[in-house]
Amino acid sequence: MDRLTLKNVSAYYRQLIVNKEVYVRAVDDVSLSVKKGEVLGLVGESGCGKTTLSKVMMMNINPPLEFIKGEVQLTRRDGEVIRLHKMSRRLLKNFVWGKNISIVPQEAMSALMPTLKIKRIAYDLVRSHDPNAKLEDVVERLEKRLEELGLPDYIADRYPFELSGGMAQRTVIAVATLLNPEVLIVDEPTSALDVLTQRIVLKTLADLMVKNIVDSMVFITHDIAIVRQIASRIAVMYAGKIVESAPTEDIIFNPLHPYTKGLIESITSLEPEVRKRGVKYIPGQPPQLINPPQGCRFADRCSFVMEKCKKEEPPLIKIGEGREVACWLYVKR
Amino acid sequence: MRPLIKYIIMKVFFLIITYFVALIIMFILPRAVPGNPVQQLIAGLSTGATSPELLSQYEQALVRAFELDKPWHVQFLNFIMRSFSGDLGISASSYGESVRALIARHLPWTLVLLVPANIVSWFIGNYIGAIAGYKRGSAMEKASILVGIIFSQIPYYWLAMTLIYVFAISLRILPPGSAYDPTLKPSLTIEFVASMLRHYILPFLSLLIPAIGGWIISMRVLASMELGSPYIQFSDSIGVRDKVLFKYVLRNSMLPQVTGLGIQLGFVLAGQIITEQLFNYPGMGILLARALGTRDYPLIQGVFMILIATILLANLIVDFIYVLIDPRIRLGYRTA
Amino acid sequence: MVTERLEVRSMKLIELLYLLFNNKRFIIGFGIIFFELILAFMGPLLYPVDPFDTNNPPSLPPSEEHPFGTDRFGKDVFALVVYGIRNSLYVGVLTGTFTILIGLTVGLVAGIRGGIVDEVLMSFTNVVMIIPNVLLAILILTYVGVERSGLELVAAVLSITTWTGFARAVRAQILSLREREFIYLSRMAGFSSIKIAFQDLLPHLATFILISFVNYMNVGINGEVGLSILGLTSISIVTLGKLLYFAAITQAFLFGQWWTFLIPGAILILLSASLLLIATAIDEVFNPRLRRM
Repeated sequence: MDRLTLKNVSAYYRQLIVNKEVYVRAVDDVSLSVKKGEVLGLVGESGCGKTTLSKVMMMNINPPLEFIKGEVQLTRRDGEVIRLHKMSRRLLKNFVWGKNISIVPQEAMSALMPTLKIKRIAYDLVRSHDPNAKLEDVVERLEKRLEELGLPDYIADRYPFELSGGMAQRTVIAVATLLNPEVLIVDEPTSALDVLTQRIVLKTLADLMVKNIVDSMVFITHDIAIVRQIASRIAVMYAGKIVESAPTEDIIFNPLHPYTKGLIESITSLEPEVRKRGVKYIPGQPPQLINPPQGCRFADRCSFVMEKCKKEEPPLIKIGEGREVACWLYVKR
Repeated sequence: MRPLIKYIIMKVFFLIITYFVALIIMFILPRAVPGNPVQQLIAGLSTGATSPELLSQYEQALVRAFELDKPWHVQFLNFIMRSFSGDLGISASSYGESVRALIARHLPWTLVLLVPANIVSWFIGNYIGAIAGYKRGSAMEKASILVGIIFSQIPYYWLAMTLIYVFAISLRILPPGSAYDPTLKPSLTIEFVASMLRHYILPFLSLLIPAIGGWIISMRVLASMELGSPYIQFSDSIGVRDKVLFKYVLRNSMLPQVTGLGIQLGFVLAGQIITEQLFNYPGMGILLARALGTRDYPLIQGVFMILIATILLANLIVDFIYVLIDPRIRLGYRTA
Repeated sequence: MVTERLEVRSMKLIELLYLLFNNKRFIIGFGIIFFELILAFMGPLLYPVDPFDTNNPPSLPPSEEHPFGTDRFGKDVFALVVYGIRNSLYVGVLTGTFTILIGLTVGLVAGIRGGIVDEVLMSFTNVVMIIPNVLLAILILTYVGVERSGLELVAAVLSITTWTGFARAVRAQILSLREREFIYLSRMAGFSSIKIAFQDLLPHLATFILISFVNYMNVGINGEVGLSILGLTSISIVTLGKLLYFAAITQAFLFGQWWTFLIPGAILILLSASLLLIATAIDEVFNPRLRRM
């Protein structure tokens, strides 16, 4: 059962270069769905549009970003389907954000109001959705949530700047999920942390799923080695488009798209097969998103490139159970 | 609480040193300028019928009385010793009146005018500036920027002249100057207070309006910087209400503004020389202008001894308020 | 933040100028300044009236012959205003230059050398800061003699009292920049402090210096007015401030001669407000956090 569905979504940044207005196609015709009980890993290089896609998932669109087309749907636990793209910012904020869909942003250390204690921050959040909430109840709820996520309950009485990096990251997760949203988006939650703390944060995120605090999760990262530890499915994004999506094991052991293959081969891990093979990298740079090339966006860097690739854009086609890929190599003639 | 105590001790220590350095400078500077109070007094007398011998005797007596024949460090030490017992000396330009009495007479008028003007402008300006910064790109923001820029650039003395011209001369609805009707004696009667208030409006407005402009401009920038910070964006994206976000922005961008207000309040004792002259208002500015003009050393020293003390004290209080309202400083994670 | 700044530095000059001239505030501010400059430099040609000629009837309201009327001494106010703008702008530019030079030197030295040099310079700055600037100005100007003081001295006196804030800001910026990688790399490569200051730090400070210059120009113009009002500048040099001073001492506002102070004051407000508009616009264009697309 789908929790979050994106259909043919496009969102562009409007930018001024010298005296011309141009559009940066950060998210271009993306379709994606996240099922109940699923952790979707969204993987791509920096600048490929994955953070922009997270904004589109919440329909949190601010200038210079513009929503061009598409549909964004969220299915609540009670079965009701909300069409986010049809809602005003005010409605979204009052009734959807934080309650049905929530986000853990990249800069966790500075994501919490610095001059208030964590319990006040939580109180302000809960009160925004339920004006009658009482401070004692909110504190109780927060302490329970902190405990569920393996955090000491005294954190409620601390200021954000008193917490260490990993602690702050997990506290942000606790605050963001305080209202048990159906869907949680986490954006690069581990990139600023040391390896041990990364493990703890991943465990916290897994706890969210195990304890049914959230139904589905979108885990955004550039690091495929991290995301494979938690994601049940991985979608690979390249230059504003989804090029492949498949169950994690399939992506890791049997990648289809040449870009995915390149990504897997560039992982530095201790696994014996990698050691034997050596670390590889993909030569070249991603294309400019202002005037993307006509055909496949990966064509210039692809070692299997054909005539057709430079002329026509490959559609995202279904290959087997739960697998999709956008590459002419897999289109049967 | 330990870092806090250490912090306060350090602050106070540096404050005392700064105070004495500033006092010494303020003591030497007037003496470095040509002319002294005795020359001024004698020049005033020499037009009369006094005989030259008498004049020269009188001059010597005055030089002794003001200790001008002693080296400056002796004068300075004597001044410091005496001032500890509350004796600031006799003013040279005020017919033997004591410096303390002069300050006591002028200070209340300055306080009554400048403290409310500073505080009211702070509240109005910061509130408008915060809303403008918060509602970026709105018509409200554009209007406040325009108002802020123009208001802040109005010279307060020009505004004073214009207000007197419009309300006192053309429309004749408010008095052109003085602190109260000179036919009345200062007292707590309704008549006197009403007269005081009528005289109060124009000088108050002439100081209030330009100050509001300055606060609007600085607060708008602070608020819009705060608005772009990650914590506001995160709170926004989990649905925290706009009213609460505005409170957050206000709370955090207000911190530097508190410093600004404190420093301004510290300078209040200097009065507003030009405003007081234009309105013929009997405040500290007029006193200071006279002291400087006549090289009245005791009066200059007395005024600055108190003025520098209040400036430094205001700084200390500001730091202390900062400690109270910013937990980052209170808990020693950051210095003011 | 770091990447954003680098991105700004790599913008082309034409692009920046385009952005500036696309900014409404800049255009308005620039337009007013331009108009006042034309008035100051072309005025004497277009309106050849001697501002020191006292042979006109005194205290005339504006008329065709005297567009801004005459003052108590029979001088033509329009001719005075034309001269006044030029001298006021001159004081502004000088004050801006002096203040930036003093503040930049103290701030750079304190920030780069650090240690005891920093401590001493900052204590000195703090002491200068608490000495009321009006007093310092009065003492210096009376010492030199008000009548002998040209506009250059006025600008110098104003700079001596206003550089402190700029020096502290420069130092603070240096301290935050010093932590960044590129300075560290320069040190590793064995560059001296002075070389680092000029090659690495100054370009980063350029925007801030430009904005501050415009702001201190404004401080200079208004500071001169303040000193004039206190009678601390030479009577023979006409500035916008001097016109307000004459209006104040002749109590023109009590006699209803509005043209002698309302007009010079309004022109002064326009001038300094437009400088502020320009500073705001530069900040908006150069400072990525305030820029809007």
